[in-house]
Amino acid sequence: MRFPIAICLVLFLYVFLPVEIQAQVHRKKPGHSSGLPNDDFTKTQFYIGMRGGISLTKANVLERYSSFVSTTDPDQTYDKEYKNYSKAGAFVGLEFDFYFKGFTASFQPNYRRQIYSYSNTYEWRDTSDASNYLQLEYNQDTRLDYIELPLFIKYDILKKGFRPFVQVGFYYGILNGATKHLIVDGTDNASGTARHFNQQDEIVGAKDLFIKSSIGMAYGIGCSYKVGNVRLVLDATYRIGMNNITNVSNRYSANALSGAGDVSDDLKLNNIAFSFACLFPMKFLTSPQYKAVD
Amino acid sequence: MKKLLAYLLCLLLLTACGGIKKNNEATPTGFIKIYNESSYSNQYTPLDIEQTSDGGYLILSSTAISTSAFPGIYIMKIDKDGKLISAKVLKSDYVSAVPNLLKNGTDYYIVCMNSLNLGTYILKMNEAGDVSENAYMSNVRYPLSVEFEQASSYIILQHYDKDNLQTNVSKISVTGTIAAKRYFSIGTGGFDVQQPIIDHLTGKGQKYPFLSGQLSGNTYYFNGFYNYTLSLCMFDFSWPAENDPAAAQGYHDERCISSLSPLGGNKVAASRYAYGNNYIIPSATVPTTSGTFTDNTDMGGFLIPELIGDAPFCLKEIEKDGRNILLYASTTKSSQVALYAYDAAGGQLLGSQYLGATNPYAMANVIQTSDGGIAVLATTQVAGRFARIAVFKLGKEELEW
Repeated sequence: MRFPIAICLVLFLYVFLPVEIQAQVHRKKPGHSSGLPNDDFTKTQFYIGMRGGISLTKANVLERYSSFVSTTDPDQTYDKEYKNYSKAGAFVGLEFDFYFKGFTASFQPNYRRQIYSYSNTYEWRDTSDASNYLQLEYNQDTRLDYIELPLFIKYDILKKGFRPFVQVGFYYGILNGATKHLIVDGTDNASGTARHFNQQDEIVGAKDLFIKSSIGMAYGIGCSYKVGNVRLVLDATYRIGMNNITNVSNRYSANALSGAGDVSDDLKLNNIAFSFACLFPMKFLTSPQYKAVD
Repeated sequence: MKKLLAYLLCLLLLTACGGIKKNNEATPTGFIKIYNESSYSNQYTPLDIEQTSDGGYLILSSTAISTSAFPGIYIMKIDKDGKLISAKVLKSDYVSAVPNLLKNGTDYYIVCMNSLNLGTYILKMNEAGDVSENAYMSNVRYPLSVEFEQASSYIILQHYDKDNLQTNVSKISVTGTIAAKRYFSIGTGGFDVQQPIIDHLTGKGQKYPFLSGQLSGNTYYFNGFYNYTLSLCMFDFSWPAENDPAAAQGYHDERCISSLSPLGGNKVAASRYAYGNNYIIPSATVPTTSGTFTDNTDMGGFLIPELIGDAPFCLKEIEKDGRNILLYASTTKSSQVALYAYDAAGGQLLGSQYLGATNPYAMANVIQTSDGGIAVLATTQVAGRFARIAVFKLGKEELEW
């Protein structure tokens, strides 16, 4: 775990700080003071914009836990069945880009909700008459709200108005809130007739079940298209969580649903995000068209 | 400004790394386990839990058996993390275990009843949960409560004598030799104890807080039927037979002591219920002179309205950070296990804690564990209908007092 974190840190320092220095250098050299831009001025651009989209999450289980223990069947482990990439969460945020010779350093702070789902099925049968049984399915959504600070390096494959790009980066997420949403579906076949029923939904706070930090790597592809002076971006990014987000110390003690058998597994979250961004250039050439440097 | 932001982000990353490292290295000492099976009809009622020298636990429970109206005995051994090691129902001769698993070093004793002639067994159990018959006393019937006398390892056993309508208290060795015995007349005045005692033993009726043990020195106590009330009685085995006990009397089975822990001399910590209300009594004195009678309402106590009517209580004296604590455990009206910690010296409330949610829970017992935490044994109704055994293990750092 320490190794990837160190990589993130080095990557961050290597990429982000030089960008700051570059920005300072350019500020000290007003290339178009005479009305004619010099070469350096046209090679760089700042963009500020907005970004939003949806994401689908996969729980990458490290170790499974359950508060249920079977006294009769050692093979019965009551493992959760995860439904990966099944529930969409949304995110919205800002984007700050610095473009230089086809490369872009992109800082994209955002507020995002990640949802992962799983279910447990329990069954009880009458030993004297197997047709009498009760089956309960516990369906649970866990919703995690993060303030995320990702930093990407993008490379534009083409340098035209339409620019496909690839990107790679890392992120640091700060947990802002978490809830668990429990829906119990049941089939009661105890009285000779199957009766389907739903118990009342239950929503409980779950912030203490997860640690504050989530870090990971990310990579993706996308394209941008220049419309007037504005650049529109569509991209898809895959995030690979690198740390166990479950709060190990609070696994049992802070879980309001542990009494019903629910205990958090150790897990990392992987996530695919589809986003749309609208970027506004900050540097313009002085011309009759007031054209953005691009 | 931008540089400051960059350093701020670095600081955030370092903080994140620290939090993640701490989480990876955390070794929680608590757990919640619900011991379930897929049988629709089997139901279990946990009675007592004891920790073994390997850090695991032995759990004594009762369960319905087809051959008797009295419940059979179910033994579970779990490891220190709550993982099941073994579980078994004892043979059907053994029924109505007294809800106190006696621990003497690495030996454990279960006192229970014969399903046919209602005599008393003393079963010996090792740390693996293997049970063997140690003694059988056919003339000691209807065992109701037991406790070890720590100094001598004698068992102080309360049992009911149906023929003479008496409560008997015997001092018995683990091999069944009766060292001392006293008889206490129940009488016949207005309250028939026979059926309630049978219902208590079958588990079909009210569970009474029968207790027995050593108060201090040569003074012993039992909480049971005396003079047709459920009373707390103090006595000395060496008193002449005609001497009455000292008693803190209740009224029939509606007002009585529900738990007790001797604090030295004639001081006790206790709880009581009266007509559905429950009271915690962190400190009280009880009469110890033969023929001295008081009313148990004189013991006062703090009214605890959140508990179920005539609530069962478990009272243990535990230690935390050098401080002696009276730990009361009971069941709330909202079907949770409630824990109340009182300072044993001053009697003030130090904290309370509630366990269990979503499914209903009922307290069965509580013990202090070797790591300074506690283990709470409870019944839970899985899916609202199947009675199962649940264990809450709380680490010392999880105790809210």
